[in-house]
Order: sequence, then structure tokens, then C-alpha cells
Amino acid sequence: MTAELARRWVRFTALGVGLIFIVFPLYWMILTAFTPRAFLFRPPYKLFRLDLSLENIRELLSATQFLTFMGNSLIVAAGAVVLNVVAATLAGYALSRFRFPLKQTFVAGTLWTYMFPPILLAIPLYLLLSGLGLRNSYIGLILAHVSISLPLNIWIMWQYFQIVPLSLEEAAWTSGASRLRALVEVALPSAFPGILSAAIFAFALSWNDFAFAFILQTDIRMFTLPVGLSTFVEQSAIHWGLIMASSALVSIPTFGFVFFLQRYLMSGLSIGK
Amino acid sequence: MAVALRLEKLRKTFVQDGREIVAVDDLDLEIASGEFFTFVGPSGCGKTTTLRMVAGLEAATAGRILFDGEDVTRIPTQRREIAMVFQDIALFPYMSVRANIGYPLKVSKVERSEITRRVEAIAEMLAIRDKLDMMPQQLSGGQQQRVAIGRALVKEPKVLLLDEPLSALDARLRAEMRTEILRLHRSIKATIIYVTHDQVEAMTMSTRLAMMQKGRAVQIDTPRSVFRHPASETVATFIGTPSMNVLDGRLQREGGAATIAGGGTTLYLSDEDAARLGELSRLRLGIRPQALRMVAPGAGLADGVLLLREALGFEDECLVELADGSQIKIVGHFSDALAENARIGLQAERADFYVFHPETGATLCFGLKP
Repeated sequence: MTAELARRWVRFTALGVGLIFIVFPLYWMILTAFTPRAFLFRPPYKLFRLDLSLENIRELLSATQFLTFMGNSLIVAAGAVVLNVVAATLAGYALSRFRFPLKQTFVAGTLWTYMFPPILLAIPLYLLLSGLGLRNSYIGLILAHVSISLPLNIWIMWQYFQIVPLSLEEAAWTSGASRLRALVEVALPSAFPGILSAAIFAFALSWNDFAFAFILQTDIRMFTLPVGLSTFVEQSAIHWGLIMASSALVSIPTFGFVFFLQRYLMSGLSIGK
Repeated sequence: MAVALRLEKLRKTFVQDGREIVAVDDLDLEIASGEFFTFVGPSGCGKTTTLRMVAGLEAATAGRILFDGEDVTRIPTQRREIAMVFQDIALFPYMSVRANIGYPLKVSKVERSEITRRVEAIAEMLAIRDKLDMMPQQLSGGQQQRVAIGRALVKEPKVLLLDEPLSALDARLRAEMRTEILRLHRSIKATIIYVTHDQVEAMTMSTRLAMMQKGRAVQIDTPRSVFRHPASETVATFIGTPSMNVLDGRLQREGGAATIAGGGTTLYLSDEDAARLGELSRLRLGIRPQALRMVAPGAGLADGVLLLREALGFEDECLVELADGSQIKIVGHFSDALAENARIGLQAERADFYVFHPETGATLCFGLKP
């Protein structure tokens, strides 16, 4: 065996071990999701099981408020994505095209939010939204999520608009298009990967948020998935099958979203070059 | 429907690092309807800024711009009825060639069938009809520029503005496109304003040109006049390839006769010229490389040594060192036997000399009187 071949084997083995670390928990989660309650803690714990059942999923959908949680999460995430995309696009465009005083201060200021862990911001946000009467509402939670994801999205859109040459818009203006029309018809298509990156980021942050949802939503009917699923753990007996089933279902949308749009996400991360 | 333009005391300044930079310095000129007018000059002379002010892409700091007597200085770009072709072509990358060309018409809410008709007519004229359904990235640079020109022409603008449209193309393509643009000017009835740093483009295509330097127009005239009667040394050396030879000279007066000594030669001055040069003792003497002739050593005005010879095809461009160490260029048809380091003589007509002021650069004499 040559030294080259030996090196390759070492590399693949290392990768294989790493892969097992990453994939195994996911695999076990899915496996447990399809394992009936009775068999969960009964040895032997086989790696492959043939007696799979949909019992957990059936129970999840009928006996718990899983569907309510899912619905709430989708509504809040959708709202966060829409608000993020519109606001970040307009702000990013303004930053890249216009000169105005305190521009640098504004840009630096948007990054301040990320100096604090979200849970620290949740309390003031609770007071603010309570004062506005938006506690335990969709709008309130959407705004809370947007407040965290928007700053970075503004940065992303700003970078993307800087890549779009001004002469493209000037060509549109000399063709008779208004500024807004030129933005939508000419600049946006070129900045589209940025919009997708912003959307993915906004979705992921909203879908996975626990801190804000936990503090702001007080009624179980308004709980999002992360908060709702945590209630499964509060019960006297931890129903792992149910938890795994719900985790599996919850991860599907995010997985799908990122899987199909990952190339835009990668280009979004590298625009700084 | 072409328009006549008037730029009235047009001024553009901006602040950079706390200092005020004057990009366009009280420019005042008129452009006749249907004229092909070129702004030419080195980088940073203000020609592009002027064009962009006419387009409305830059706001004028002071002054007015008039289209057929109507003040458009405050009117935004979209409503000025101009069309522009950009240096970097600026085709919309996510639209087909057809959509690109038709864009101005779509914005004007022209009917779909009419758009198709006009787009195809323009594409036919520009020889890109078969490219209509392709995307811009699939086209070559020259074809892309033609699409850009098509997009500008499709709405039959009153004024067509071109900002160094050929600078992104290779030399051969540039020469071809020059002819195309010239032909275009003959067939469409628009006033064309062209900006370039390439004096060949300016000379071959323009009805009149404005040579710009540091925000001012130093000469506004037809190409031929600018070539034969340059207003200053800067204009004389900028226009014409290779550049005019300009040497330092000394004005000497002995008794009643005046002579110019320079470049290893002495030229006597007529009384008229001597009077025009007045009190000057130093001056600059110019002669175009094409105006010089090669003769046997001692048979001409000055002798020199051939340093370099560049073959240009029919003619050669030679670098010659004169007796006083200065170097000049001569262009002509020379014997193949002529080798480097050969001694040669140079002859020229008196009428081909120019005399420039040593400080201001202004042209004092167009040719020396016999």
C-alpha cells in the first residue's frame, strides 16, 4: 500500500467517524419516532428495527396540540420572513445608494443587537410589547423575531446591492423608469440570492426561537413549536417517543427549506469576497 | 425630432476631503440640432461629468441646460426624453435581448405588438435580429454594445448620449463600430453627444468637438480646424497620432533680423511673425511628424541620428535624435535600406510650424510666414 493510499484511508476513516457522530443522533431520533411506547426502554436496543409503527405520530396529532403549535410557528415564521425581506431590501438599497448623515453610526448600531444574548433582550421586549398591547399575539412575536434577524439581513442586502452596478439602474432611468421601478425590475433580480439568504435566515431564526416565544406567549393556544414541545417534558412521565416524533416532524420544514435553497445560502455567505 | 442644446455657465463642484473640486468650470456652449458633438480630453477633464449632467444623472451645481430653449436643469432623467449608452454597456442581465431593447417602450406603456415591431426593426438595422431571443451573456462585447445602442434608439430620442461606448471593445471592433455609429448618425435624426478620450474617435465621427481640460473647454471647433489650428500646445499634442513634436526654442534678435533657434536648427522669422512674438525670448516650436521629410544629411533644416524605426505598414514611424539631444518623431515612407544609427537630414515647410507661448501654451503662430 502506498503512502498516498494510506493517507486517503486515514482521511476517510476520520470523516466516517465524524459522520457517525453527526448522523447517528438524527437516525436514532427518527427511529425512536417510529417506535411504539412499549418498546422504547425494553432491551435489546437494536440498531435496526422492523416493527415500526405510526403510533407516536398518531398520538401526536390527535392527543396533543401539536398541530396548533405547528400552525402558530408557521404563521409567525411566515410573518417574520415577509417583514424581513421587505424591510431589509429597502434598507439595504438605501444604504448602498444614498448618502445621508450618521450612516456609519446607523450601520454600527444595527450590529449592537448581536452583542446581547436574546434572553437578555426578551425582558425589555416583553415590557415594550405589553405596553403596546401586543403580548401573546402573532404580531408581537413576529416583531420580536424580526428585531433579531433584521440587522444581519440588512447587512446581507446591503452587500448584495453593492454588487449591482449603478449603471444598470441608470440605464433603466434613462429608459424612463422611475427609481422604484428600476429597483424592482432591475436591481432586485440581481440581488435575488441575497433575498433568499435573508429569507432562510429569518425563517430559521423564527422557527427555532424558544426564548422570545416562551416569554411573550402566555396562552397555550398561542405557543409555537419549541415552546409547545417543551411542555411534553413537564409531564410526570417523559414520553420520548412523542418528543422524538415531534422533533422529526419539526425538522422537516427547515430541512426542506435549506436543502432546496442551500446554494443561495452558500453564495450569500461568500459575498464579502 | 432632434433638438438643439445649450449649456449655460454649467458648473459642477463637489467636496472631497474637505476641499472643493471643480469638475466642470462654467462651461458655456451650444450644440446644433442633429449635430454629432464630441467632448474629448484626457481622464478627469470633466467630459463625462458634463454628459451626466445633460442626462440628469448628476445635478448641476450652477448653470442651466436647455433643450430647444426649454430649461431642463430641474427635470429628472426620466422625463428628459434622452437615451444613453454606457461605457460598461449595462444590459439587464436577467432579460433577453428582445426584452432589453424593448424596455423603454414597455415603460412608456407602448402596445405589445408595436413594441415587437419596433424592436425587430431596430435589431434588423443593427444586424442582431437573430440574437433577439438570447441572453446578454451569450453575446460578444460588440454585439452587446449594439443591443445597448438598440435599446437607446428604440424610443427615437431627441438626444442620444454616448459615454465612451467603445472603450470596452478591442481595437479592430472599435474601428468597425466607429463606422457603424457614423452610419447611424446619417440615418437617424437625433442630436448625438459623444464622450471619449480617444482622439481618433473624436476626429473621425464628430461634426464638431470640444476639447476639454480641467473642466474647461479649451477649443470648440470642427475636427479639421482643431487639427490644423489648435488653440494651444495641449490641444496640438492631444489631437493627432503620433503627437506633434514640440521643442524648446530661443528667440534671438540681431540687428533687424529675428531667428528661432531650437532642435539643432535656426529658422529666420519674417517681420510680421517677429512682431507677433513681441518680447518673448523663449518659446515652444511644434511640427507634426507627418510634416517632416527625410533628406540627405546637411540638405535640410537639421540633422539627426535615427534611433528607432517602427513599421506601421505603408509608413514607418521613426524616432530621431537631433544635434542638441532632443528627440522627435517622423512619419513617412522611407527606404528599406535605412538602418538604425544612420545619419539623416530633416526638411519641412515653413507653413507647417507652430509656435506656442512657453507659459500659457497658447498658439502664437500657425505656420511661419515666408
